[in-house]
Amino acid sequence: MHLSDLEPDSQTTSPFASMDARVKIVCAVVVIVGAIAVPQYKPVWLFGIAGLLIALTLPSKVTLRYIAVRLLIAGPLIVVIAASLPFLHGAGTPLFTVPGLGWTATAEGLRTAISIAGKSLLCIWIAVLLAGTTDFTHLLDGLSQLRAPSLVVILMAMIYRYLFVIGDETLRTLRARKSRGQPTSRGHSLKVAVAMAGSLMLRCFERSERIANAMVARGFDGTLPVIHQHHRVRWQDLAGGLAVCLTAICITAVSRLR
Amino acid sequence: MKAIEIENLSFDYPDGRPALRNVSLQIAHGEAVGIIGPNGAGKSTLLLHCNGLLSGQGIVKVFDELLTPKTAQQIRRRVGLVFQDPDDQLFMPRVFDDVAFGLLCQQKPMDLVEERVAQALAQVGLEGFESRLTHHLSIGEKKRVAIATVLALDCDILLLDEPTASLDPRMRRHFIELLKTLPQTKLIAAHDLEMVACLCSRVCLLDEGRVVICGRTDELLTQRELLERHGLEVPASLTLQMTEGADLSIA
Repeated sequence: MHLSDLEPDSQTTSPFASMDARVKIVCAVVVIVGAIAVPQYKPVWLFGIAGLLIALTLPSKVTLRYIAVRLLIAGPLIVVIAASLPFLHGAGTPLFTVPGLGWTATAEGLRTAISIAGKSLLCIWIAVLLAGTTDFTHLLDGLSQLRAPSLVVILMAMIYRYLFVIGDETLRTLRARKSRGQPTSRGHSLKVAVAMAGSLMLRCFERSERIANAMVARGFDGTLPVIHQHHRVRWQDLAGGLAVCLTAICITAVSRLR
Repeated sequence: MKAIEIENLSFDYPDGRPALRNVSLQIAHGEAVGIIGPNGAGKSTLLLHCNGLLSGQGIVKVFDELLTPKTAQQIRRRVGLVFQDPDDQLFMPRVFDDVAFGLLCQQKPMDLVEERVAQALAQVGLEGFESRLTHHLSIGEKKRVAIATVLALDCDILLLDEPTASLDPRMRRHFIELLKTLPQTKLIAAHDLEMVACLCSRVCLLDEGRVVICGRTDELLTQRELLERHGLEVPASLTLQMTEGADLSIA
């Protein structure tokens, strides 16, 4: 098995796969900004954004599992931040006090926590949906065409390229370890894991030197070349993108006005 | 005309270990020369010097132009280096971006870049691979794309570091056939002496950073004692010819 086997089929089979990457990136940014702009004290309006995302996810062929796994990765961080917010809000209607510590949670703090957790999850969902329906190289093309800084685009390209090389190297190392038996205790297991991580880091460092040599050998002088190809956006893509953006803007506008 | 001229080149690794010692070598334009030797002999280090990636004490000239930090960038346009591991050579996610990288660094116009990329890929038998993702390619395809990355630059000299390493026999044979078709001057560092025998008219044996001997491939690769003394073996095809008492000419 290679790490590249983990790329979702939806990147090529989704009805959104052929949509212009620029339109998708702009839509993602607009929906993210829309979600963030929903007032903190009205988290119920985030369901509107969630509804929009459900409407986009259902036909997208991106599986619920694909989204859930990625939401779970970010979950612990969001939970830690959200759990602390009810106690940090300061003045407000007190809800309960933690015995022994004297920390008091407030209703306003709880609402802020729900709002921030909801917004964070929605933002990740949008990013996952974008990644799940777009070939990564198209995303890079889109960013480049939208004039994102070339350093960012090239770095993303190289990270994507070597994610699979390093991932496969890690899988081979894990296989080699497994073939020679399992660690005998948790301490031993930790020691082996740390040694493996160290060895992988050294290999990555050595590889980075060789890559730098390969770049210089082909004329790299510190200026990163980026291809700015100009393709016309199809009107269907524009119309679809506009509909998504307008929906998100309307939800946010109504949430702020009412 | 001399494509590469090396005179008394010496180089030490940063930890002080000697890598090259008074290496002198001349390669004529259009010639294919094999650099052979055991592990750690300095073969790859020598190739890096020919591209200006390393600079030791001594003289390296490419087409009569002295290789210095000032001239290195210009000379690299004529000298293409293909690394042993294609995952080092191919650092972009898509084949097109990788093959186009050198041309874009030279700020060539986009239509020329597209034309040269298509030509280079066709030359290595990978027409239409432009949009393929590098990490989806087989090792043989990656090796071919690695060659295409330097062919696109229209180099006069190819420096190849272990070009047949990790290839299965069929892929290796195809790869050797491909290298045979390339008209450029070739300097090939390799342990694969069968391949060296197929491609190179001349061979240089390197050990412990020194040139032990340079000579005609058919003469040098049949010297069993010499090769074994330096951790190498007579290629099987030549051994067979030697035992049959046949003419030792190399196909």
